[in-house]
Amino acid sequence: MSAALPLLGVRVIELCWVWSGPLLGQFLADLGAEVIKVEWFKRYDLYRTRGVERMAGKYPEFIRREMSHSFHGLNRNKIGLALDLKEGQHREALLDLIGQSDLVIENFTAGTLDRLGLGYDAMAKANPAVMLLSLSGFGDTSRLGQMRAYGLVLSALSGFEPGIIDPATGEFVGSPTFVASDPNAATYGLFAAITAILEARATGEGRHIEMSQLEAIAHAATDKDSELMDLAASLGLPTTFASNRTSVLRCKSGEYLCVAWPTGLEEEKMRDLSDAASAIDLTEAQNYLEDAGAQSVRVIEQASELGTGASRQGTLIPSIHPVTGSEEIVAAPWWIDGQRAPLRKSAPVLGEGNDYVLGFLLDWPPEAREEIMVLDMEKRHGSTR
Amino acid sequence: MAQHDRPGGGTDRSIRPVDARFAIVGANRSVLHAASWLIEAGAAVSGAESIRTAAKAEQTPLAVLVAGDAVDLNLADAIGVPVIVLWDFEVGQPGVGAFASAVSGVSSVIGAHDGAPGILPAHVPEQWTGIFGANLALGLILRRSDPTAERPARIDVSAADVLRSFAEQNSGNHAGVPYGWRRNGLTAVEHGGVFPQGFFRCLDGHIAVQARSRQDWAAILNALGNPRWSQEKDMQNPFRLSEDDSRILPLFQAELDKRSMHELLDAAIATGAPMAPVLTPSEAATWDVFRPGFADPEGRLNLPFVVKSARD
Repeated sequence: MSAALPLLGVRVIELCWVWSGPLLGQFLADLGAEVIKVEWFKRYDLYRTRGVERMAGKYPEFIRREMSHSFHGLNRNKIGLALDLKEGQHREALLDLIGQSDLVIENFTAGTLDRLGLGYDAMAKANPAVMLLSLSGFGDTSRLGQMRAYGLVLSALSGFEPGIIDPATGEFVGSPTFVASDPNAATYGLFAAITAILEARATGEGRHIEMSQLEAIAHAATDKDSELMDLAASLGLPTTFASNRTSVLRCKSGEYLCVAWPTGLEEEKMRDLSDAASAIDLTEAQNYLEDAGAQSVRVIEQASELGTGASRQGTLIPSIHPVTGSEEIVAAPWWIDGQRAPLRKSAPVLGEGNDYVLGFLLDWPPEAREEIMVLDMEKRHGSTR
Repeated sequence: MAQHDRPGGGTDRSIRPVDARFAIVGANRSVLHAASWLIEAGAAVSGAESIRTAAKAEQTPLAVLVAGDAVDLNLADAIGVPVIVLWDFEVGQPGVGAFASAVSGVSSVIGAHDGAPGILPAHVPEQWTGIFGANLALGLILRRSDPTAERPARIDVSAADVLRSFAEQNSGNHAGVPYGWRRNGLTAVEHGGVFPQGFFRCLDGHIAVQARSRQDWAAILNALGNPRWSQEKDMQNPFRLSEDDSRILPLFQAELDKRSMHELLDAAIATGAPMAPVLTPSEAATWDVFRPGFADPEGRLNLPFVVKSARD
């Protein structure tokens, strides 16, 4: 199945941390791109310790930083390169690598790459055809450019959150736990990344695309049903959606049903059906609603059904990590010929790909590569003394 | 009107049109969103009555995108053209994106702690499914000139798979992280480990506040003028405060109650505090929070991309 992956032959450099940027890198890698993730021993992706924060002091740092299953999921199929971007020779190595790459993705704070001497002008000198995709919070021309661009801040400002209301009271409740802005940014970013690669391949010229995560979630916050109806009409396709209205009701058993009502059903009839369904048990209610032309599903709320149970839908795929061993990671949300995106390699241990990138791709001699790994060894000894 | 034809208010938001043709069969929300994104990319998109009609068109499409729950899926009709099947709910099951919220865990964390579960707005699950469909279709362009490349026969994307994937990653439920997901009203359960995370009342609306570190909490306190209670050592550790917010919460709320959304945003800009008002889409359009050119003169939103070339 790997041979059918559409992005085989594309090389991407990832300078991203935490969730949205690495998730975009994961999508690209799952689609077949060679994604090289750049970190440094003293400054690595914070998600390397997600979920193992409380292990601090119980394991040496060079072990703990390889223990996060969340990091393993987001960074599978990537190659890990350890470089200190504040050091001249390492910066030159990155520029040399950019000379052989199609796309750089980054989510540093605005201005960081320029301060490092790695802004788009420098990248374009190294490779006029390289594309740079920045996943910025607000965009460097925004008056909010220096604010912290966390997901909840972005979705609040964008107009997205007021659309999330308590189904019983109609009051604003928002989504403070499932923060939609991060995965939304990765999803929009994938569109930017693929169109960017296509553009560079077609024109031989690169550009710098700056995506505002705030604008991306604002774009998603807009209901587009009327535009979709117009589009369907212009394509000569049927234009009525099966359902325009959903609601949530509590059954007698205490479980909740999410109901999609048939288009055109009168408000009063819907209320009557809801009241009647609420007075009976779940399965009976589903049958009753189905007879009335409404579809429904049970709202799943138990952790056991959402976690381990999710593997029944193929949400989780098995992996073997060199440090933590056998574990399950989250699959990409698509199926190609009935298969999830293949796991070609586990998430990189820090610096794991240095020999491949510096030695094979950039022709660094063994002693120069060894120097980098010695720096890590010195840090390890320092951290365990 | 596709992005490459629209004005960007002085900024370049243009996407160079791709050279590819796609066909659309059926009309659920996901497939129409996918069509819309392909048009944004500059692809030629046409509607067709069936997979067979689409595949046998005079100009063969690179792929046929299909509304899974609205069409008879006979892949033999595709005669070698890849078929991308998009589902508003679940692969093989009709339904709507709200159902995807319901079965993925997303609904389980939206709503009051003793109330009913909520759903995502604006048909977002179908929107995301459509973007993935478009992205997978555009990806096929890259290898079409390679005669040795295998082409997939069928790709499926469903809203339920998209939301499950995001929710599992976000919750860490599978990953040895204690599963803390449940409904908790306007704030995350135990503030996600660092106080505060959620929405709080202020003088004229709500404000989102999300700290991830001691520095963030210090910046938030700074934005609130470093009230006297914040000098206490116990009030300076946001990790501890997340475990028991019973004392901090009324003190924090009292400070927010004194300030308007505008005042709090100004303070956040001045201090770097991670907090911002909860705005409606119409408010967001008038608060100068977006870059120039995001909305066109008619108020339609452009794509969230600004493009720059290297300086010579």
